[in-house]
Amino acid sequence: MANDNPQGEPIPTRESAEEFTNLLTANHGRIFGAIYSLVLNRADAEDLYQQTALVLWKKFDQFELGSDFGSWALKVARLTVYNFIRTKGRGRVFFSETLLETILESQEAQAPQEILARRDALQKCLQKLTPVDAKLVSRCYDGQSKIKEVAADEGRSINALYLTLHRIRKTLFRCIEHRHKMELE
Amino acid sequence: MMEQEYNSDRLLELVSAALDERLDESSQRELESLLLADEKALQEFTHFVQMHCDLGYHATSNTALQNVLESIQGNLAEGRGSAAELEALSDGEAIQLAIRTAPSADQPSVSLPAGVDDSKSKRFFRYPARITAAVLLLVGVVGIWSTTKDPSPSNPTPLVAFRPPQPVASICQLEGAKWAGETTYALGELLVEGQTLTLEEGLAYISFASGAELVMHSPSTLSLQSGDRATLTHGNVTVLAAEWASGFQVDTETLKVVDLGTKFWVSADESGSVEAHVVEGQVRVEPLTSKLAGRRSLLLSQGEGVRVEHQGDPLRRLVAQQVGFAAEFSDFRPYRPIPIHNTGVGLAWGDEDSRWRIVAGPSGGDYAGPQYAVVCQPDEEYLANVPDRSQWIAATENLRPGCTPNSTYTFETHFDLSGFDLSTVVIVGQLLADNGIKAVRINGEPIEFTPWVDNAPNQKFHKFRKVEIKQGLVSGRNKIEVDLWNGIYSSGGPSPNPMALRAEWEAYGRPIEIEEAI
Repeated sequence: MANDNPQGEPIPTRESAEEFTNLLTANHGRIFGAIYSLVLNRADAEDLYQQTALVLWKKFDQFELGSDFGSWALKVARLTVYNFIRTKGRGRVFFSETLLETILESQEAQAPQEILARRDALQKCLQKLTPVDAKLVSRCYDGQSKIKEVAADEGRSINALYLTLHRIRKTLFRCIEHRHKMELE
Repeated sequence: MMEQEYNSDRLLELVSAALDERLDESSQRELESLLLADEKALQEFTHFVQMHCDLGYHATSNTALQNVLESIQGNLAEGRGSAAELEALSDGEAIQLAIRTAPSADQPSVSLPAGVDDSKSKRFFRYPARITAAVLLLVGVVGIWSTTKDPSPSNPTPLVAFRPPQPVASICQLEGAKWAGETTYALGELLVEGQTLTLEEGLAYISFASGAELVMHSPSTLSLQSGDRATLTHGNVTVLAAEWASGFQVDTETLKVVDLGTKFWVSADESGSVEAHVVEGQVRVEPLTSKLAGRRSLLLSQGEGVRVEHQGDPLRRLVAQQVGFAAEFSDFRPYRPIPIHNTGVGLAWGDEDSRWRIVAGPSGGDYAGPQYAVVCQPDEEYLANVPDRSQWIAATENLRPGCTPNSTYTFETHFDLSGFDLSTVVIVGQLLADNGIKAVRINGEPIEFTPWVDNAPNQKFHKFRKVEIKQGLVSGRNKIEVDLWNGIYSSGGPSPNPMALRAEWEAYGRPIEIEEAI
């Protein structure tokens, strides 16, 4: 467990840091996915994730080891997002409060095992992409490329690139759904 | 929550647009009402967003790992691990090592370094790096993004090829064609690999580089994967393939259809229902999600067809419909590939490349006068050789000592256009050069392109540049000359030094005689 320093913040020890990092790493997809689905904006989601992670760390001494870290993290994420809406204004999030609550409920109801199973299915579905599509996914999601750059490099318009990207996403999504369904059967 | 039928494709379209941050207000309202009206829609939304996040993680995990490895180089320098140990680690293990090497409670923790990437520049995704940053920050590891990249040449990360997309087809004929959005295509317009076409009205005839002619019937969405492969998302296409285009492939969500010298048509709807009908010749169909007893594919001959109703359903045999989407190809003049040899293709290290010669350049170092180029061992700053695609060629099998710096070396190759209609020929080269290309000539005439020199400190050579030959071609034997510039750092460097070329070509045209095509 973390020890408090004179400012009231925990001092990281190797043990507490390791516990925390294990839990955060194991749940980061679930937490980030939940935040992202609420704000649907990359940069905001990244900032909110980071704020959430910091709050989780500061409050980590209140977390009961063995309980559901992901569920606890989603509660913190909810507060962080609502605080963000309050300070930045509703213009930054286009869903109504009713829908935000509904999305959060849906996220909380999602079993962590299902997220992992879907991630495994994604890996397999990615292997079924054609080399051209796989390369495009890699470029679009590598975190380095701006869409304009990718479109220019690929010699096509931004709209055409979005069309292709949507087609690939849909193919992957249907593939994941299919695999997941087969596994459940 | 009220349950009602919803259009899944429309939902995914809206979510995809939202993820790309290009959803207008009315679409936002439409998405909200879809999500509020149907629990299954909400579930699909949740899963789709999760997939989007996972894709970001998947694609950047290697980058994140490199960032982590670099960030703990400082710790390594203090004797807390070895480079070999680090290279062998997975992403998660690297983070764990970072934790193990983090300061313990009795050591001062490190605060967020100045210069952490906080920019809001428009990128698709970059959260995994942030996650890693947050984790490492929390446990007090030295920061990541302010760390200057190790300039030593021993960076173990393999270089990834960057190739501009190649032209793989062209618009051959249009009949009342209207495309999605404001897109327009001109007759003869080149289409590149990866390009997606959405035809809303009319017919579009497309000639593929491999020799397949394809007709899109509206409404259809088709993506061009390569000169011999296309993906049909929905709609109908008819294909007539030249004899030399055997192997042309149409993929759908549930079925792969491979031409074996034929005329066939394929239809696909958005629910996953697919049909394939053979009008002439044979095709091989391979179900992607259905099961075939005891085998992976099924051979269909003239007059035969198959249908898959939904994903996972068994194949159902049909009698092929000879009409309907079996479009007529009244003027069948398919493309035929033109052999222009990629450098070093099919050869071993040290082999002479009899298709490529170095015909001019100052004597000195490894070069003593006109000679065949030799497949060389790539430097660590070069993209790795791919023997069955292309390889680096130089004056000798070893890059060092090399050739005279601040000099031009001319590489030369020949190809034959006998029997081709020159007005239809498409030739596009992709070149890599240490250090750049000053000029390219076809039959002695310079072609238009933007010359380049790559000569930064620790310069990497992995980004192909495109050179298109549009004119100056002659019937029969043609000559391509490439003037390669061998530079040297302004601050000096070894002399002689490495000089090498790598070239890949995409070339095709319509033959003058067409009788032998099918």
